[in-house]
Amino acid sequence: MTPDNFKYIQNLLKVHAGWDMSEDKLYILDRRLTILARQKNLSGIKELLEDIETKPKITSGELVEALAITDTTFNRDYDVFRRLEKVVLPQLKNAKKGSKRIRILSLGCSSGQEVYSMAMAINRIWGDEIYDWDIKIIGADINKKALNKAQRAKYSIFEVQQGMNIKDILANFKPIGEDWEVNNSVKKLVDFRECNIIDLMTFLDKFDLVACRNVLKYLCEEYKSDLLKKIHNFQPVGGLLYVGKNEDLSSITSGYKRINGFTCLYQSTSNAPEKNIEATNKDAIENGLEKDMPTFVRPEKL
Amino acid sequence: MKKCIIADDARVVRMVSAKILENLGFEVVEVEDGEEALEELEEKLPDLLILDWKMPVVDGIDVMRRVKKMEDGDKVKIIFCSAVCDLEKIQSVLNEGADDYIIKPFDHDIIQSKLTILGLL
Repeated sequence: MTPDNFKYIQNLLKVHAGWDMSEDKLYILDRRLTILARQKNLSGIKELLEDIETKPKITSGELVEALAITDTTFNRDYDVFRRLEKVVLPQLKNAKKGSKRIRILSLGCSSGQEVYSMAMAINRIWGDEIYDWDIKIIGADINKKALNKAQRAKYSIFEVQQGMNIKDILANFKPIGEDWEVNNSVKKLVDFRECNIIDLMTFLDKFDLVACRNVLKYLCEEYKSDLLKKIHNFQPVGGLLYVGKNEDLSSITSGYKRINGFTCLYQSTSNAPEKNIEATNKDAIENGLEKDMPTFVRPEKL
Repeated sequence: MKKCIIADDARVVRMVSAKILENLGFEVVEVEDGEEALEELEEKLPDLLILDWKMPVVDGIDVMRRVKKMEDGDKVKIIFCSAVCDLEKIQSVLNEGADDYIIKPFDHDIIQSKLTILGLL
């Protein structure tokens, strides 16, 4: 790919998806564009890009979709996900025991593993109580192909074995030919919608928990703060925002504050701007909890 | 350094597993049947035992039963690694005390993921 080609693609991804694609991602773009060119019976990247500029045979949308990063696994970042299951979701359950209604949104859900992972965790925590609750996890993504896979709910043996032990696989999947299909008890908790996060997005619900993991790090700064404002609009005060490992929101000075002891969990505040609060384990240690365990009491006030 | 014993009669499987585990920081001992595995186990218990199900002389389940009876044998994490995909049979292995089960074929990411879940990484 020539430098001009790269600049063209970089700009297109910024305008259409808000992605900040730095030059170190060049090899990813190169590989995916080569595959896309082959699929379109074009000789290579040069012809593919000429085609985009001159004939609308390949739309910008198709290109953005082809270049979307779809890597994901069940229970991604296992240690973080365990804390979600062991600490955050039980707190949320306790906080919502009055209404028995929970709405969760997974933005950039790709092929659905995060959404199903959360649904499986909820089934494990709630047990038979699940029948008395109204719980829905919505997965949203720009990539139609990934969403179709999510909706089919079928995964290869390689995919199911990444992030899950065999007990969870047997409890939540059944083998269908070469694939493993998610059980209905899990599927009924989830729904998927196509959505470009920078256009966002009219949801009627307020979401108690929004997972936006490994999305923000690909966005330009202006889109990042814009997206967080939009997410804030469809969360109640006290709503939880769950971001990826190493995704830093320290540039955000209003709307969310980090929950003590958690590196990936924020809580929405009233709209008034306030200083960002740094996470610390000090409170957890003073309360006699183990190092790294959160005090995490705020969700009870949801 | 954590120690792992890999017991599998297929040489290629042993080689691939050993390479992955060494890359993940394990000291690896390869054996090709259950009897050899028991000899190694009696010398020193490993942190992790990866067992094929069907092996000559002594099969994987018998090895696991013997380990469970050894002093501190319950501290050894045991992962079965087999092409057997019959759900009832897999469940029976878990009921006998296996910590996890890998359905072949597998790759680096699967082993890494399983070890993370077991707290070995």
